[in-house]
Formats: sequence, structure tokens, C-alpha cells
Amino acid sequence: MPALDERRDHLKEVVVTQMAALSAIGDSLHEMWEKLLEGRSAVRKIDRFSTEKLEFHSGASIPWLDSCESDNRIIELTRKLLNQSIAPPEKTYVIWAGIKGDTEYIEQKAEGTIKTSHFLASHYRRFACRALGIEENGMDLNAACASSTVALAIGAELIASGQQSSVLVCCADILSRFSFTGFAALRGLSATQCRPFDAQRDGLVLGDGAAAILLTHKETARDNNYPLLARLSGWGIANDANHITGPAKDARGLIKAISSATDQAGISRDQIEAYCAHGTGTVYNDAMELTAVESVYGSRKFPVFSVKGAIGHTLGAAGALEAALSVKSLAEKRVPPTAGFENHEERTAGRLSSSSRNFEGNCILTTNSGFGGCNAALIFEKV
Amino acid sequence: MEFNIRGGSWINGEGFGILSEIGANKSIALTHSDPIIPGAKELFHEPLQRYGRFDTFTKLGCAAAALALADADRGKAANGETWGMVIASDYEVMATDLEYYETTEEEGGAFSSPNLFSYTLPVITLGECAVYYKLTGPTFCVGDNGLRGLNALKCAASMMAQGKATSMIAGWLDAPPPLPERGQPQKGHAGALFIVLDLSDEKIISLERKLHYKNNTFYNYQGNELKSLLDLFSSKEN
Repeated sequence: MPALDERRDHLKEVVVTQMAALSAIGDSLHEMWEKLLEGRSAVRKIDRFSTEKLEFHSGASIPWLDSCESDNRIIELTRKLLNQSIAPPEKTYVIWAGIKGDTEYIEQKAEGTIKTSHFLASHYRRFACRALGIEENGMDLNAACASSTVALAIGAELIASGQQSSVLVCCADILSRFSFTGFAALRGLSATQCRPFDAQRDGLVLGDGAAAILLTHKETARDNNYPLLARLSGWGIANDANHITGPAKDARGLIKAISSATDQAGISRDQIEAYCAHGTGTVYNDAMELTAVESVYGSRKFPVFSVKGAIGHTLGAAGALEAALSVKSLAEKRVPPTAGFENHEERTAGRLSSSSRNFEGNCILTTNSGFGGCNAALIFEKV
Repeated sequence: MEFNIRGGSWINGEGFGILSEIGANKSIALTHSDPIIPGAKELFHEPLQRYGRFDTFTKLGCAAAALALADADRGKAANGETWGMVIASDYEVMATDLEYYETTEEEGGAFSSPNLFSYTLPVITLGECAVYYKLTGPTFCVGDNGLRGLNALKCAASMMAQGKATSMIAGWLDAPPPLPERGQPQKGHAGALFIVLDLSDEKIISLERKLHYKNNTFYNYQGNELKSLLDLFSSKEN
């Protein structure tokens, strides 16, 4: 196998050229970003389905999706997402990422009233291709809550190795009764408010979300006059090999994923100046991420933030949503406040904040971790 | 680029077996009936906790991984080795999803099963294998689209080519619900086809265990394009 430096010399440069996103806090990436900077949160009492018999009642659902009469909310979310100025080249390879495309189908099946004809990941990918008017091709990917992060890594690899010239990662997941009852049964939800990294955190909230990110060769971007929003220079994927639903206390998988991404980017650890964490608000996930930060970066302090207190955990869409927000953050050289965060513990000091902060430097890290022990890390650099 | 197939396994409605024991002119077929999954004692030297409580998809995946690794004469990953796993599936865990959702229907979801919910993600299979075999490399699931593992094979090759893993388990795995889904003429195929791949220079047994990868396509030692993982589970010469 060729040495890493040698391989890196042969890899093509991967750039982010188009982005779209929506969640409960905003119907566009721009609107989301502005509201995140204001410290707003879209978490509220759920009225999409009854939570009366449960101990948990909050979520970040998109209001228009609550009242939507469609038989498939993922399709409606994807339709609205792709109406935002996403226009990939016709031969673009599409990777659909999501974790539970069949929840509404399952719910309808249980009620004996199946209406939707979309329930497999490949159905959504084909829908996205048709909506964009591009050739139907690509693949579907599931890596639990790291699904779209891994999809971006695979997309970047396809471009870097010269197999594709443009890859669109498209993802959507919804706040469904299926997922809500499941996380409630696992006692993973917050009974109060989602407070990522807060000393008093007590769980996550779920949310609706969708994102699309177009990756291309730098040459393809130039040929098409696409803006060079950021370079995706490093990616890493690693498993904890520890537990199927809980993170490894020593953060071994996340540390390995971050190290792999850093090595691939060919940068030093000191060049990472901001970190968009998975930050679910559960006691164990956030502790694991802080352990990873301390292990990889030592006592060096730089801004760490989570958006899940504002938009909820959007499951398979979380990675791409957060990647898009990281690129936005890099462009503006500032990170949004971590909504819900109030009380420091010793190791969050100088890292987490309830206020927006500026940072120097040209690299930002974003990571996600999921059930099954999967961890994925991406490094974006200013072009 | 050239990859070595270190071992493989198959499970279908007629039985199960390993790649190195496929006899002359034998081909493994896909079946619609329930797969015959071996018991824990036939597969694991050390007990795999919860195996008896796994859903069908997870049990099928762990059994196929155990058989493939045994065929490759491998135990667990050692320090310094990074093994990963990619599976391709169309229905993923839909049968488990249906089973889980039934538990949510009483008392407004207050008695939903946390154990079944955990298995409503296909990557849990990979997680179980990761814990048991110490897989610390990339683990994820891709859509199969009728290619019987080819998408997983491509992703596994890509992971090794970029140095993210030293060895990968890759294959097809499906355990569709008992009744055909909407728009489908019949229940999908159920079973597993797994192989164990690496890039090492260590001598391998035969040329048949070499895979060439060029321009996004795999070729066998005779230069024939691999169109499905099933092609590897046939001793017929093309």
C-alpha cells in the first residue's frame, strides 16, 4: 500500500460548491445560520403525535410539516430542500443518507392504511434525482447518526480518487412517533430541555432536518463557475468496538476518526481552530466527546459548539446539516452559541459558550457518532 | 489495484457454508424462504452474548461474518490491524421495524421495547460484529439495488485503498418481512453472502482468490467483470 503522503499527492482536491439545508429553526441554510447566531431554539412541545402517556414531550418539528397532509414527510422535506438553489451537473453521483426512511410506511402499515410508495432509501434517492432533473444513479448509505457524515466522506473519496467529478450528498430525517417512542424507551430523551455539554444535561431532543451538499473536483468547480465554499480535506471513519448503543468512555473510536481525518488533511492538530461537535445533550455522548477533545488537543482551548439544543437531533441528516453549518462558520470565522448550554464543568471552560464567538485559523472539524459504535470526522479548510 | 479474497460465506434457505468448500460446478442460489442460520455453538469460540436475542437480520449478519472469518482462518483483529465491515441490503431491518412498532401500540407507546428498538438500525449488526471481532475501522451499510453485495465490495475496496482499513468484511445481507411490500411482486430474497478482503502481499492459495479493481469495476483472475458477489460463489468457469 502506498504511503499516506504518496497517496495524498495523487488525490484530487475536493471542494464544497453548493449547500442547502432546512430544519425547525429555518427553511434555508441562511435563515438557520442567522437564528442560530441569535441563540434561538426551535424546541417546543410536540403536537405531531400524542406523547400523553410518555415522560417526554419536546421536539424540534418543522411547523409546516406538522400540518402537512402529505402521506410522506421525508418526500415533502426533500422537495422543499431541493427547491433551494441546488443545481448539480447532470452526471452527478447522488448519495442518499438517512436512517429511517420507512417510519411513516411502518406507521401506516400498522394502521392498515398504507398510502406512501416511498419507503426504501433508494426510493428517496431516485426521487431526489428526478426532482433535480439529473441522471438516476448513485447509492444509499446508513451509518446511524453518522450517516450523512460518512456519506460526505465516501463522496469525497470518490472525487479524490478520480472516480467521480461531482457527488451530491442528500439527506432527510423526520421526528416520527417510531423514533420518539424508541428513544423514550431507551431513556435517551430530555425530560426538560436539550442542553448539550451543560453540567446538568439530561438527554437529547429529536428534530426534523434535511441537507444537500454538492462536492466537486476543484477543476469541475472552476469549469462550471461554482463558488469554492470550502475544501473538504480530511475524513475519517472508525468504530468503537465497545458497545452497540453506548459510546466508548475513552472515546477511542472518535479519537481514531479525528486522527485519520487530520492525517489525511496533512495538517497539524494545532491548525484546528473550531469544532462542531455531535453534542446530543446526553450525559455519555457529550462526556465522550470532551474526552476526545482533551486526548487529541490536550489543554489547547478553541471554540466547540453543538446546534442540537436549537434544531434537535436530526438523526441521519445531522452530519450534513452540521457540515453545512461548519462551512458557514468557517466562512464567517465565528461559531454560533450552543443553545441550552448554561453551566460549565471544568473541561468545558474556554471551549463551550452560550454566546457566539469569533475564531482565527482556516480549519474546522465536525464529527458525528452513532449507534453501532460508528464515528466519523470531517475537516473543512478555507480555499 | 489488486485485492485478496481471504475467505467467504453464504447463508440461504437451503443451508449455509463457506467459500473454500464450494465444490465443482456448484453455484449458490438466492432463495426467498427463511434462511437457515447456524446456532451460536457452531460459530463462536467465545460466547457471543445476546446472540439468542438478536433479530433475524443481526443474527444472519453475525453468523455470516463468523463463517467468513473462519474461512479466512482469522480470529479477532490484533493491535495494529484495522478491520472494517460494509454490508449492502435493500430491506435492511424492515421486519424488525414492524415488530418493534407493534410494541408501541399499547398505552400510547409507554411499553415500547428498548431492546427491539436498538435493532431497528442495520448498523447494529456491524456494531455487534465490531465488539466481538474488534473491528475498529469503517463500518456502514449501503443500499444493494439488486447488485448482491457489489456496492459493499466497492466501498470496502475504497476504504482499503485510502488506507482507512487493513482488511474488510463485505457482502450482501437481507431479511425482508414475510409478506411482499407494496409494489413488490413477491417477498425479496433472504440470506447473506460475505467475503473477507485484504491488500497484503502475503501469498494466497490460488489465482481465483484475486480481484482486480480498475475504473470502478472488479474483474476476476480471468479478466471477467464481477457483476454480483454471487459470481464469486460459483465454481463454474465462465
